[in-house]
Amino acid sequence: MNLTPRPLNRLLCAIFGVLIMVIGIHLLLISTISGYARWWRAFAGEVGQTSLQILRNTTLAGQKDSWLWILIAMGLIIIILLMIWWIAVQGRGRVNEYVNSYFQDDPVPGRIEITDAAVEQILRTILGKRTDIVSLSLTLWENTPTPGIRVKVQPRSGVAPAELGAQVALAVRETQELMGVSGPIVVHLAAGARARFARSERVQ
Amino acid sequence: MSDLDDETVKTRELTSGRSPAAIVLAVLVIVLCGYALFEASLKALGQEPLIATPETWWRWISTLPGESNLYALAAAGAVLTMLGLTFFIHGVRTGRLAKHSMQCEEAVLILDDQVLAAALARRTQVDAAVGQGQVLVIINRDRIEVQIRPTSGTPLSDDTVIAALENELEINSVVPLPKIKVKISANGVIGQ
Repeated sequence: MNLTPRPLNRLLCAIFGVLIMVIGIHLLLISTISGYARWWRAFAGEVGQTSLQILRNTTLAGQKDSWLWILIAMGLIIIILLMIWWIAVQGRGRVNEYVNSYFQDDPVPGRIEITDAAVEQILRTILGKRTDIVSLSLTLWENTPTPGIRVKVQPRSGVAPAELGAQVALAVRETQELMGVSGPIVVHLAAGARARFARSERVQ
Repeated sequence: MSDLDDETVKTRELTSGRSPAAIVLAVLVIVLCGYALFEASLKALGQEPLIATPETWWRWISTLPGESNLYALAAAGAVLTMLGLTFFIHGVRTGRLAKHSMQCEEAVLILDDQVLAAALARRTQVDAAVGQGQVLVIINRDRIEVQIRPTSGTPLSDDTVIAALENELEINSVVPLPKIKVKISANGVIGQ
């Protein structure tokens, strides 16, 4: 669980996909239909003439090139920065501090911070030595007022999932009660890493 | 970012976020824009171009197909069309992962299809009274296919198995409920 901007991803994927497709179809048409290629050369020639005219009109006296080039360069830089931002927000929204608050208690006021590792240790203690769990890990995602808890449990093959899932969820609730907070919980019963890339799942 | 409700969390868990496609696209755009910027600044500084000046590029583009190989051009077009289509489909389709969700009071409960398949296989083994390796469960989105090779001489009916599996899905309250298809093989397995 993270806060990747999914609608943005989809929108940009679709837009860029259409753009790339248009270029591809354009190349295909140019190379296969001579009439289209002729039309394209005429059309592109006109566009070239017009833009050349615009560039000439926007060239200041004494300058070699048009100031439009600076605008174009700035536009390119902005696009590059936006793309870097787009990459940076992928998988954003993980946190590793579960509780972080200041208590104005009388003799010793102070700040309390509880990290995800501490939460995981408590959860392990509550669940104890269970034979039906192969591994357990915990991540936190950004959420207000309390971060959400996502527990990934790898059960042993053939374990009844509903029962195990409910018990893990209860254990997480107990943990939250211990911390004096509440918040969303996701319990993910995961198969081993081997099966992660498989589309349909086959089990014997 | 503030609170997401449980439904949203569930949807996010069950579908793909399209991050890899997004990163690939972003890198592509950065490389293209970076190259254009580099070429433009070389021109502005009056330096020799790296590959070709913007004017040369435009001349090449505007006089296509020009002297380029038609087959190469067509191949490039086909590749770009496929690539674009792939990204477009990535953007439009829901991108369901091989996971299901179960109803739970306390939490959003998500399970990989393989975990569900393992549980169903175990249940089928018990109810059809067959050994390990005689049951194969395949889960594909909202379809569950169960293949059973019965023990020779022990008749087995679909209904028992389907009833057992439906019960198992009900216990686990998998939502949405998948359709079950049971295939009992004509050849049996000898002596279990």
